[in-house]
Amino acid sequence: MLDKKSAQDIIQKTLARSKALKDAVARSEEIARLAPEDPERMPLLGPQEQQAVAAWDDATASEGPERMAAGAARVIGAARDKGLVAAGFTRTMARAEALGNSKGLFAYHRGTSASFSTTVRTPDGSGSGWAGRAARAIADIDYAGAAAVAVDKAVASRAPRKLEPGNYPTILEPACVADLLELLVAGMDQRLADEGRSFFAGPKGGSRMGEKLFGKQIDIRSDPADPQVPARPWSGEGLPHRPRHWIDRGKVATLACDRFWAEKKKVEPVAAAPNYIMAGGKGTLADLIKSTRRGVLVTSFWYIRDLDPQTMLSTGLTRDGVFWIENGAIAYPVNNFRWNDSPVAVFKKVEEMTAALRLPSRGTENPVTVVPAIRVSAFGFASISDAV
Amino acid sequence: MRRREFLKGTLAAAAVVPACGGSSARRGTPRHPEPDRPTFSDPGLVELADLALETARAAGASYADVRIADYRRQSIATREARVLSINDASDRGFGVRVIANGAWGFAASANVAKEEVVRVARQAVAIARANAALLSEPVHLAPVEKYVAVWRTPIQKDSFEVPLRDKVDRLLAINAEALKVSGVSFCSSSMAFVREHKFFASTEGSYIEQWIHRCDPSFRVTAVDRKKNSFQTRDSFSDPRSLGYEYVESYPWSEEARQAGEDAVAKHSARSVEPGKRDLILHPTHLWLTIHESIGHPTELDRALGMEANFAGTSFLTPDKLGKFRVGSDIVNIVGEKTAPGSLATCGYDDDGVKTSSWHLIKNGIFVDYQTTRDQAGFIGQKASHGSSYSQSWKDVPFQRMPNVNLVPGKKALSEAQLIADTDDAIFIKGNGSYSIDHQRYNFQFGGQVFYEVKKGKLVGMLRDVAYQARTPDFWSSCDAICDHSAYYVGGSMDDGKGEPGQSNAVSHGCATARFRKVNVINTARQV
Repeated sequence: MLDKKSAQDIIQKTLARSKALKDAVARSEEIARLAPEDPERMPLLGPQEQQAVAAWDDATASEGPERMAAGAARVIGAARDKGLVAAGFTRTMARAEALGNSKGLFAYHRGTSASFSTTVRTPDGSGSGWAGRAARAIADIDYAGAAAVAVDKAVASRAPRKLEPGNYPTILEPACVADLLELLVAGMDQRLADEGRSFFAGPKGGSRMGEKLFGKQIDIRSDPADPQVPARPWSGEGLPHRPRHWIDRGKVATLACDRFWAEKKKVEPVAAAPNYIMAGGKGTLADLIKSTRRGVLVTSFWYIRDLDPQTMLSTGLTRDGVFWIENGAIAYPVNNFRWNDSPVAVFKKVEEMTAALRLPSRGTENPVTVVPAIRVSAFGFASISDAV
Repeated sequence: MRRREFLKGTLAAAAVVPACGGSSARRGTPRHPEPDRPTFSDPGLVELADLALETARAAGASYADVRIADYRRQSIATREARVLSINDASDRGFGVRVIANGAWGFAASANVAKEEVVRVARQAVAIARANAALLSEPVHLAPVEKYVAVWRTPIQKDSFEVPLRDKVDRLLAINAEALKVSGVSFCSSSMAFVREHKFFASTEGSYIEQWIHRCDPSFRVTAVDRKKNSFQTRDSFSDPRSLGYEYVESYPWSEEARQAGEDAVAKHSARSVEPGKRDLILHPTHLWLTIHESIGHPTELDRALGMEANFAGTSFLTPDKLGKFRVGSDIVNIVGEKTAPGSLATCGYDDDGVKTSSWHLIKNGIFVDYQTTRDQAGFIGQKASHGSSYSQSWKDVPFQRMPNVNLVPGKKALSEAQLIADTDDAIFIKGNGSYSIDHQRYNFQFGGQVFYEVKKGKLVGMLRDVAYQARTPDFWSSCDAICDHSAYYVGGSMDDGKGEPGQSNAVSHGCATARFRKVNVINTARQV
């Protein structure tokens, strides 16, 4: 692996000979001359103690498209064998990032990732199933396993029965939980809370820092060195990401805070985390279904948008596999729904969780969340969607 | 000002790749000399393009096209009296797309030089051959005419020629104006500008150079009431346009900033809506987004064919419904076009080299056509593409993207004031808020910026916590009045996402104020 000193040398030599970079510097200087004084300007950070994170996989970085093409062929084959059609996307990424400034700060990080997702449908459009996988290394992407899940769901979701909208006990698979987690942490900002324009604004001024929002099983932390989801250990301006709790056994433990606001409020500056790791329970999705007397199982969400930032009330839809569970087993497929609910309300109603894994939500090519599947006592399905 | 401190924020986003191959390439004889060929900005472009096409053909491609393009993007963001960021970035490169062994292949590079053009063209062919291994049906391209042309967005004032100071001053003035309103706590504002310059050539014999300009000014006002622990926002009604800086200069910013401030404050004391079946009058600043989501997306042919099933989704408008299925009432006519001046998807030629045009998607309420590209038209038995191919950059592969999709205004004289006067009980909605729709485009839910109660032909007060939920054909079938051209307005989005990996498309939607009967309205207020 390239060490920090060699990376620094390469970057300096490239800077010296690149006309493009010289032009960029010249244009930036011109902008700086024209821009008005920033009353919130903070001095540049000096050298920081940077944690080294093992996020690189040589094979993933150097491999051509062969393994991805073979993975895609496998899924297409598995679908064809059952008379189904498959669409999907797989990619690998290798990325190196360096940050330096004139105060002597230098940070360097490189990482790889691989992901795959597929939607398998019946040719008549009556059934549809989705599955996704993500990992640091392509060798850990289980194409066949994901294909089997999507194929099974496509077959099992055919001819859904009508289920009226309402509040039902619901199992949300990890793809759904990852979406809800992202909604929750996106609002965790100190300044927005202090300014009174977020859910995390305190009811009597200030913020909800320290408030017990959830049961103690809800525990959300970040750690750039987490082996499942290793991440760049510094922020865009070079602030080191330390391992920390955001929700500590149900309590609000951290709100992101920029350096200017941190100085003003005399708190530690904290950049938004590079990953979020939600503590899980025990067992698998199959175990969670087995322990459920009755309720809805949701594979994935779609088109989530906020409805009311004050309560984090959001809307979205279910997609590619919604089932009714009766006495610990999937009984039959049901229609898709629009839902209107808040991640705060949902995480307050968690009854049971599986073990947590790094799994993508739909459309997330490089997921940075580790999440369990959860069962909640009630989830707000607002209306039926005819889409399959 | 300590200059270096400020640079930190801007340098990261600025990446300038210098022009090389084009200007330094030797002048060559074009493969298809044309006596009436327009003057291209750089003859070296033709030479490089010919090299890409010839290399691809020699490597076995049955079709090839190349786009050599540069993009300039500038954005400025402010809040209250502060400039948050100024980003100014440009990039240049080329992408070669080929068909070999019946399959598509695509490769791109930022190094616009002869040797690299040869390497990338060969790589595109190699990728096509690899893709052919998984192919079940070879790609068939609908025929296209050969064009040798230059096209430019008709602008009056190039936004990139306007000094930054003017832009910053204008944004800070908007914030200051909004903050003058008692009860307004915050105002943020921004401007973004894009210039696409692309040279397209294909083995069909086309050589097309285009300059496309877009601009997107906007602001948001926030009113916080700490006693109630409540906050309300109001976004500007401005929309992005394919226009020059004249759009920014002509927009009534002061007036709207004041009005937005008053609206944000008034929302705190507005009555919370009673849910139920209500009539809606939708202003174009709101309705454009409903058109975009519920008609624009389901009439994309690639979705209907299942090509986007893994992400964007499929469509309830399947090809068997063409010419038969009723989407809306008789008065609903919707056209796709890429020709309206000022609209975001407007250009002379699409990224397949097809001349842009206008066509009906919905005629008298019936679904009659799709948005298509050259490789799709044949799937529904059409002989020509509607010219809906677009790529967000030289480094991304073109695919079917939405043209401007417009609701045709009513033929009978009907102003917005007359429509309101003619309505007994309804909610009038302006501006776009929350928006969400399922993956086949049936079930949707929309919020807005401001909501007014209409009683006995008059606006009688403001409402809050409003969203409406409907099923696309039910909603459009309930449309019983569309205002005439006097109420026509063009809204739009700079960032419509689609595809894997995701690409962004800019698209406009023109419409006049319209009325919809008995739509399901929900109340979005909650306790958590």
